[in-house]
Amino acid sequence: MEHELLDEDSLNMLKEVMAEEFDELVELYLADSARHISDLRTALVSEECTAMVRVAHSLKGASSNVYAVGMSQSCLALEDAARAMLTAPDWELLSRLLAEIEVVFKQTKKGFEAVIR
Amino acid sequence: MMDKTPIQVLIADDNAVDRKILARILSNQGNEVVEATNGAEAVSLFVEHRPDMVLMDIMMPVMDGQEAARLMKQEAGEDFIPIIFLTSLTDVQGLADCLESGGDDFLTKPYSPVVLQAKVRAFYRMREMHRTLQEQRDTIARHNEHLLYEQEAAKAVFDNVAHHGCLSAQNIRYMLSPLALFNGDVVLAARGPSGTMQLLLGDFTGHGLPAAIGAMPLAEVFYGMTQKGFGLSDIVREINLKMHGVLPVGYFCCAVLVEMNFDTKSVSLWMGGVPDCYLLRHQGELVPLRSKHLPLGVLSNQSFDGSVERFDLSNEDRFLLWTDGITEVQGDSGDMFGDERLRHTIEAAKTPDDAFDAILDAVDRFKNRESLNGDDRTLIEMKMVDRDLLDDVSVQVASGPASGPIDWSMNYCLGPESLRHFNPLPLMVHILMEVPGLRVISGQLYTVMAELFSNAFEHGVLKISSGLKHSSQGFLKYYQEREQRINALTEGFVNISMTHSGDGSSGDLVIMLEDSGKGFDVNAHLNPSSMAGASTYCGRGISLVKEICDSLEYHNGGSQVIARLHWDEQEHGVRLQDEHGA
Repeated sequence: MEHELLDEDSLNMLKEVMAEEFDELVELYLADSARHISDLRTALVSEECTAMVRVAHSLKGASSNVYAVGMSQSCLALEDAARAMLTAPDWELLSRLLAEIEVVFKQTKKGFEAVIR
Repeated sequence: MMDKTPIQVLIADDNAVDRKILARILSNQGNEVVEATNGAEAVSLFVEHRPDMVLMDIMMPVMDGQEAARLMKQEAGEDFIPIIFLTSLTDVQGLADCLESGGDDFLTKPYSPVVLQAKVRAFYRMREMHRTLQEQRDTIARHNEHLLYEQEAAKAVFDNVAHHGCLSAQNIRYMLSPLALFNGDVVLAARGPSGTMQLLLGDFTGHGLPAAIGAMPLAEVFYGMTQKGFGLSDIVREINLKMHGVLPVGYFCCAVLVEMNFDTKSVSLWMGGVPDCYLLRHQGELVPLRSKHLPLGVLSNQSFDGSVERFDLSNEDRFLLWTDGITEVQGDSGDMFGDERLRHTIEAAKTPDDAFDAILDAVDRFKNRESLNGDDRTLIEMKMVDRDLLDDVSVQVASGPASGPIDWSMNYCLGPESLRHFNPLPLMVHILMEVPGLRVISGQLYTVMAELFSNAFEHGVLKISSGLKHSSQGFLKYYQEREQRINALTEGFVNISMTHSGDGSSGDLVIMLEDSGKGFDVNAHLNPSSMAGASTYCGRGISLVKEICDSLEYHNGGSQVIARLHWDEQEHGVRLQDEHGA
């Protein structure tokens, strides 16, 4: 991934807004996202395309709110692709996009851990 | 950033991270936050808290944002509680859906504290404005309801003042809308003690309460004075004085007043400021009547002219009277019904009896249904009939103390100046009416006083020959002669003495009139044979008085007359019946 993972400037502003709740918020985001990614994996295995759209949408929104721009973009790619092929899903493509989200999430997590510690 | 009034915001989002950030930003800015994790929870919290506004995600489990928004709007009713959907900018179709499904705006992720604050403030202002608007609307509705209630109450008061009227008499037909009072239209009719009928049709300037308020004193003066026997000139003058004092500048009352004497078949008419009306003769001749005076309440009494026009009528001759409501009814093309159409309608009526309905029909057909200036059509027909077709003049017994003055006497002497300008009859009758036993025979007493006074004044003081009255044409001449001599009067007097004695259940009244004249041939007037064949009204005068009184004596060659009346509570019914039979 060559593009930016976190929008550092905006994140600092959010840190000011959230103050003492900031660390808690980041931990909440990381835990939620891990759960969402595992939900996506389950949906892929059981071939539930609609569920993938919904979860990717939710994860995209949360990511954009904490300025995890890399995550947000990867989720958008999955959400759009899944929505476009609801009647005839290309499971191989969706699987590749989910794998990309998992990679980006690992890097984002490292980035956040650096910010809060 | 803190604001004085905390705004309560309901946040509905299944995503904990989004919810947490939003709640933090909002509470940092001094707002109160309630949080829901799905649509169903959001709706129940909405009902419970009734927040100032809602921030809600579209995609939520259990119940989605669109359905929740629909239920919230339903629950809010007339209240405006803004719903702002949370979404991401990339989701273009989502944005449109938000607003379609009843949302008022949307907010895109990531949330900007500055934009969020601005939106919350803006929607709060809008909500306040909406609330103020509704309060004002409700206030206006309440005021309107109150106004209608007040009008009903005012009408009830007015009906109490006006209900003694004789509008239901056989010879009157009228059309008057139920709330005409608030269009400024008034119709009053009453009988005088001598059996005359007086009618007033008035049209106050303006609408609503200001137009109605003047009707109360108008009716009081009209009924009070008619009952006491005042003539049309006196009444119209008194009403003008009252209206001039009561009504604000620029307000006045257009009016037409009619006094009908069913015995002499003569009519007095006063018209001020009303459109042309008509006298429709029984054989179909149409005589236009034109206002010769300014409306009531315009002039001070010094410059006011209370002079009346006189007409001699035959039975079935009738007056057709209206206010400008009839002529100003609007047609489909916006033009008015007008005088011309009105006159043609009357001329086209088959018989005089059809004219009244013909006018109503014509106006009804002409009228534009959508026209706003609605129902102020006021129309009256008053016709000459024989007196016995009408009910007897009702006597007001129930007034005053049970035992009035019993033992009293008075002397009232009028010089030339008073005689020229002042009619003492109402005052004299008023004094007599203080005696409860005399109230029952007020009509007869009025006849006695009127006959004796006019004899003393017209024949004694003015020295007019009564022979003039013998032809029906002579009446007008008689009045002209009378007016000339009154204007030239410089000397003479009429002295009225009244003495009453009794014990409360019976009494004796002695009326004495003396005048400065030379008297007259008493025997010629009192001898019934000299009047034989003359069925004219004036011939009835003295003999009628003789029938009413227990005794009638002339002294000093006719310049002094003494009338005696006895009344007894037990015998009233019998005695009055005897008189009618005689």
